[in-house]
Amino acid sequence: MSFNIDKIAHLSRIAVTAEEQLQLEPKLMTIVAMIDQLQSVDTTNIEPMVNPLTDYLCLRADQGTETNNREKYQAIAPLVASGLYIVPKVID
Amino acid sequence: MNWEIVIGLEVHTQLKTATKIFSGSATAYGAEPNTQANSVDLAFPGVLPVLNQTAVEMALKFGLAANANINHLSAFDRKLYFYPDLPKGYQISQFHIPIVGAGFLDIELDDGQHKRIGITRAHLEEDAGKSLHDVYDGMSGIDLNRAGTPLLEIVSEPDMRSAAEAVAYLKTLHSLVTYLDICDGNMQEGSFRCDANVSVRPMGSSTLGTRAEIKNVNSFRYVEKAIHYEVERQIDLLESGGIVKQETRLYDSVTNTTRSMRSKEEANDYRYFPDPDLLMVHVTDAMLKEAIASMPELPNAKQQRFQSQYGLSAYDAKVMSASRALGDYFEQVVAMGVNAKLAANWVMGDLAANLNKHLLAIGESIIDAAALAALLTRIEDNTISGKTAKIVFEAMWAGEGSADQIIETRGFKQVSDTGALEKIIDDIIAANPGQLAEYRGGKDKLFGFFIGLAMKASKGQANPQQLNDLLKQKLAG
Repeated sequence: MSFNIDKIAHLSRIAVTAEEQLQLEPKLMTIVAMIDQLQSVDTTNIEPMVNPLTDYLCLRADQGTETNNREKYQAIAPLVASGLYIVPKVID
Repeated sequence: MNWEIVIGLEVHTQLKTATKIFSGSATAYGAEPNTQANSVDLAFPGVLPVLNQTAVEMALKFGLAANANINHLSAFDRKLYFYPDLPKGYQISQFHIPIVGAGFLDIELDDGQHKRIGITRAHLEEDAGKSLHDVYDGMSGIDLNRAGTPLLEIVSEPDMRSAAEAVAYLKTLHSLVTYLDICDGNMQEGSFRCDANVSVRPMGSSTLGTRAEIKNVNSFRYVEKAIHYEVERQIDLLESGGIVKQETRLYDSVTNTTRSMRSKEEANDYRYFPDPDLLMVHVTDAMLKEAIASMPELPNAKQQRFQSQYGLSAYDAKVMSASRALGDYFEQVVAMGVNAKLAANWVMGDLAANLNKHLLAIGESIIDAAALAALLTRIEDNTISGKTAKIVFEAMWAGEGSADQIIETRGFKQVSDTGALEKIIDDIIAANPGQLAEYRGGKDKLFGFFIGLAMKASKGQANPQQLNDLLKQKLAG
């Protein structure tokens, strides 16, 4: 199996140099080999496990608990205007 | 070649909770940007999501109404993509095991035919924030108030064969979620959003053609237009030897075209995996029982009841049950002793016309059910004629007071007092001996002449039926 590491890196928004790509390929191969090994186990009639914990989700009542703390949150934002977080243009 | 159109719809309904699906922030529409976004919605490190119980209950109600299988155990997954209005870098959704499984909705088409549309699934998920692209030159503004708002995504089977069927399905679904009171149904504000998967295939073919997904069409009319355009585009492409690409397209209501959407994410590779922050959702028997107990009367049942209980025609019953609020209004009027057919006529007629003209919902009507009932009672007890009632209605709408106040101050009271009517008739007969003789000589047509004079003398306020009867008696001598 071979990988399109450029594509995987792009999907994950990770910059990968050509040198790193060479190292990544065998590492990814090892991971896939392990998954292949897992897939060789017969799981017929075994319920899929979503989470190893046996509890179920606790639900919260639909009641407001939060107040407006915009100033505090935006204090650490690089750029803010009119209450909006300002980011590089994301549409063309 | 003859082509068959195949349409499946994905509808995002915004659930009517007070707070977000995984945090205690408010979900009110139209708040100042980012004033309803807290550390969970903003994805600060170390925060954990806690599921809103009401969102689960609303999903259950929908599942029950859509005749669907409810999964007693369902799970949340992470859907990964990068976009500035998605702070975590993933959306929490239900991919592998949704809370609501397969079901169906029955729709009625314009020609009265019924069709069953399959529901593939309905799952809970969180909404993303909003990106505003036109606010700053070369930059985008991000408002995260909407981030984390609960959505129920309802996915249909590709069972629709025309734009009209798609619209009928959407309207049925819209009516259902508003009846269930799980969604406000406001399409302008994005509470009910539709993505349409459209493909064509040669008539008789059993394999599906390649589909295009048309995003976020925000009115019933645009859904119909967008599908029409897209179908034409695909048929033209195929007939000229081209192929349809599987892609996401945006509908532009100004040019009435769809265009390829490039920038969101070129790979539809969301790498879903179970969210380790969230355990499985367990719908207990008690929760299900409670949901069943809280189910309101649904549109079809209400329509049938309106026919049997109030004797409305199928058409009237359908209109009166089109929305829960309209049905409630109608029943409030009837509960005050007004004849059901009269009530339905006024709600569909003058009331609907005024609501449309002023772009008001039934719940925002200037004239409430009690006020309308008071007016209609005055038609029924012969205080005013139906014609005068229309004038009183307009005056009520203009804020001139209650029906009785307007009837009183404008002197609209019909003259039903036999003594007063007799006096008017006696005077007319006395003043027109020639016509009286002719009438008695067999010229029946002159009856209209006397009615006209009597109406004029009463300034139009004589009770027509009573006037008719009395005049006949007196003319007969």
